[in-house]
Amino acid sequence: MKIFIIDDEEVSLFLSQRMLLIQEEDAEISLFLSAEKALKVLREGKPEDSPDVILLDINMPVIDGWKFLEHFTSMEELIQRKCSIYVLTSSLDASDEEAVKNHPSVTSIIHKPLKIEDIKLLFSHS
Amino acid sequence: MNTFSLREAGRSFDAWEKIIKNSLDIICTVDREGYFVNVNEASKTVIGYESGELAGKHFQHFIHPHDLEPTKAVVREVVKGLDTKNFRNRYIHRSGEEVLLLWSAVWSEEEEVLLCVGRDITEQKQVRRKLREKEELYKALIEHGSDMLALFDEELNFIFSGPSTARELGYEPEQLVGTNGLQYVHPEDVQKIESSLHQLLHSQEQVKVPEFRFKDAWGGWRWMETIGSNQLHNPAVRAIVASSRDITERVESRIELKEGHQRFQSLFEHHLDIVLFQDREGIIADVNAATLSYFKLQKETLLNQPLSNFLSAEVVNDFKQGLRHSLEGKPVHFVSFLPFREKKQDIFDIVKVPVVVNEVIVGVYCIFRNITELIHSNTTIKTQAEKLNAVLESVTDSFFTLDRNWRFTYMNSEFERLVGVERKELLGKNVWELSQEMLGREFYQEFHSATESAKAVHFETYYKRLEKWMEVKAFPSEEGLSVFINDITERMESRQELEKLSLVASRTTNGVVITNPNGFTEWVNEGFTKLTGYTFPEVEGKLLGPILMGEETDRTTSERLAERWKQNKPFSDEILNYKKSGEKVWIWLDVTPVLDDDGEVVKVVSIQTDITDRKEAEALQLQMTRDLYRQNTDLQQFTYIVSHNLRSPVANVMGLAELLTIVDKNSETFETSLGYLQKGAHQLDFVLRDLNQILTIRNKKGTTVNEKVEVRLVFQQVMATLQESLNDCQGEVNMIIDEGVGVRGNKAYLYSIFYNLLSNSLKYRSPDRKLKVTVKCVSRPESEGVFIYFSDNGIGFDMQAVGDNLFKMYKRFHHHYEGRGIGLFLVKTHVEAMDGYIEVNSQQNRGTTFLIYLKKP
Repeated sequence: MKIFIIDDEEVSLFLSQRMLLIQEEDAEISLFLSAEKALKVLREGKPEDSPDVILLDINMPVIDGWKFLEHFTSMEELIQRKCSIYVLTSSLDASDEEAVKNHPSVTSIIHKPLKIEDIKLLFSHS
Repeated sequence: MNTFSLREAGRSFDAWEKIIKNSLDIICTVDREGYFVNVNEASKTVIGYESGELAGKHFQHFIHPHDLEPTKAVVREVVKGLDTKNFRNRYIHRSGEEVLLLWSAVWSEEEEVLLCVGRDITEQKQVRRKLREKEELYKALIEHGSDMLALFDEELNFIFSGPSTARELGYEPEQLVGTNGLQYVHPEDVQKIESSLHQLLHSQEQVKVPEFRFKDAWGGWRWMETIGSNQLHNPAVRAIVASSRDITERVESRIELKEGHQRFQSLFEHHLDIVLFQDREGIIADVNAATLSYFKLQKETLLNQPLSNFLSAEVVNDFKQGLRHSLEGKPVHFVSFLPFREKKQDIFDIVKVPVVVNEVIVGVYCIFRNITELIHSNTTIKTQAEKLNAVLESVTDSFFTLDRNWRFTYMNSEFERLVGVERKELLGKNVWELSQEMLGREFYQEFHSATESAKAVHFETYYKRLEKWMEVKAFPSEEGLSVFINDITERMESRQELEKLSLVASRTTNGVVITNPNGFTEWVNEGFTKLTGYTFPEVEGKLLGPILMGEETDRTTSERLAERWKQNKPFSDEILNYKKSGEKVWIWLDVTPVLDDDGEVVKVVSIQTDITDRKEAEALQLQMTRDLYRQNTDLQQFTYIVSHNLRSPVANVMGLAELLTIVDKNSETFETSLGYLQKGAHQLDFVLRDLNQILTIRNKKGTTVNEKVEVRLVFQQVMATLQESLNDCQGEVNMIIDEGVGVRGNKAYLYSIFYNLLSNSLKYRSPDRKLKVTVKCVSRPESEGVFIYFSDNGIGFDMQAVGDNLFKMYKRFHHHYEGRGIGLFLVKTHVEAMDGYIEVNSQQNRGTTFLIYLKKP
């Protein structure tokens, strides 16, 4: 299982990574402090190397989660089919939740902090 | 006598003797008694007696007995000393013939004798007598002949003028003699006379002067005919002899005749009607110009043709009969429709006039007057009169006309109904014969006033007979008076009703306005005046809208009012009006149209209520709503902050706490997690502090201390605080702020603004160059505010990408830079709290410039 975590906050990245590893020791986790970097890796790598799961933060400077999703939908179909995107946000805003749910590329929304149940659900889906 | 010598005397005596002896005249001396003393030899030749036969004899023996006594008397006179020189008497010649002698005699006292000289004048006298006889003939001719005789010199000056001239022309001879004949001649004839004179002077023939005009003594012109004869070379005459005759009558009658003919010709030729002359057979002998132009034919085409050739078949007989009657001397005058073959549409009035020459009718003048238009216009007038009649009959007003003697000349049926009398009984009757009940005293006065002043009158009166109110209008004219009477009972009743209502309306405190259906004001109450400041005369007959509405009156409201007004239904609305004083007043309008029986609007009643207080309360409410809305927006943003920025560290703390329970206490992860937990708690604290700060500013807004804040001083404090950081990066600050320049606001806020901006410049400085910051403060005297420019040469940002998020809370635009995204949010909040504004301009990797506007103290 290959996982990308995109978040501008180090603490958040650290927490998500630790929790995932606790649940799934073999998980191959890549951490990105900005969306730009994650997009670069996705574009430059082979489609078959793209991750199974992307955990995406929304509130980020320069390219936020929404913009990342825009870029993502313009990528090769194979990548899009392979990756399940989970929005991982600290927001409790109902409007955010609504927008995420309606987005075709987003599988689900997870509220921070990432909990064991969330991870279980995540792996059962993938 | 002294020098008279004897010798000389003797010689003289001899000479005298010779003279006496040879004289042809008898020279003799006679004594006082009458006896001859000496007689010379001439006695022989004169009276046939020798001188010796006479001496000593008394003259009585030789003198004609008729002349004896006169001779004796003369002798006695002469003896007394009275000389005589021309005494005549007759001697008897020896032969018995009478000899007429002319005597001169003088008495010589010395000698006592009469010295006498006698001349035989017998022959002379005879010649003279004959001459005299001839003269008298001429004189008689001159004086009693009808011809006027005159003598002229060669320049035509009068030398003589005969008495018949005085008789005929009024000039006495002495008036004319010496004057020039030409001055009496008519200027047009002068040349004629001059040429005759020329002819006369150069010939011996008589010259007949053609007729010319000569001015008589009374200033009139007389036609003259003159025969002249040049007698200038005749020694007995030495003049031009002219014999003239007055021929005025002859000439004038001739001229009259000529003019008469011309007049007739002119009349004929220029007659506007068609005139043609027919002979007894009906042949056209002459036509005038009108005829030619009517037929558009040449004269030759018409002449010598029977008139019937040009007539249509239907009328030929009429014309023949007309000609016959006319030739019989009967007057002929008839109207013929369409008489001519061509020009069929015309109608003519025809007169035939016979022409009589030497008591015989030689022909007939036919005068055709074209009366087509007349007939047609008569028809038109008739139809118009009928139409007018129809109109007058159809109007609902009563109408009648009177002549100048107050007699009915016309009335319509409506008037018959009004007075209840049929028109045949009224026409021609005097209007005042109608009973008082029908047309009362008021009519009498008003009608008289109308005719006397020649101005229309208009009055309203109550007509008791029918119990109706009448409106009467009377228009005077040349013909008399035209009168319209209109039933206005309904109008009067509604007016009275209105007056009653007005009484009620005038008592209310609301404004009441009554208008006609088109919105023109007919009445307002006192309440209206109190409400608007306008009195009734100021708004009477006017539309109220333009008077009351003003600058801030909502246009859509006024349009809506106009629209609803048209629908003729009651409605209510509110509008902002302006009083006469300019003061604004909110009015609640209740508009009610008043309908008549047919559902037509006759009046509109508007009731106006002052709702200014309510509107002000509403405005206050609106302001409150706006504030509420803003606070709500803030609250939303607060929610956002809470959901994102507060929630984010909370989530971290929660996550870390969870993780700590799971991982081994001695593992690296545990240590790291613990460190992050600490950091997270701090972060949480920051956010809470930020929130506190912002809420504090927000709550203080509007109550911000309005002190004067010295810009330069505050910036220097900020520089001092951040001096260490500036030194670390070798940053340079260029401060262009005049001392004493101040802004109105709060010192702490301005400090916060500068602190945040300068911190940002330090934070986002370019790694490629030394930081340069310029702060410039511009305070123009004419401006109400101060402009502060704050620029750096930092990394800048993409204006397009950032959009309107720059000043929003917790918005961040750079990676790798520490920042909570609150600095610019605070700057903006502070600037706005001091009633200012902030703008930004930035270029990536070039720098950023902020413009801050703040009010002067």
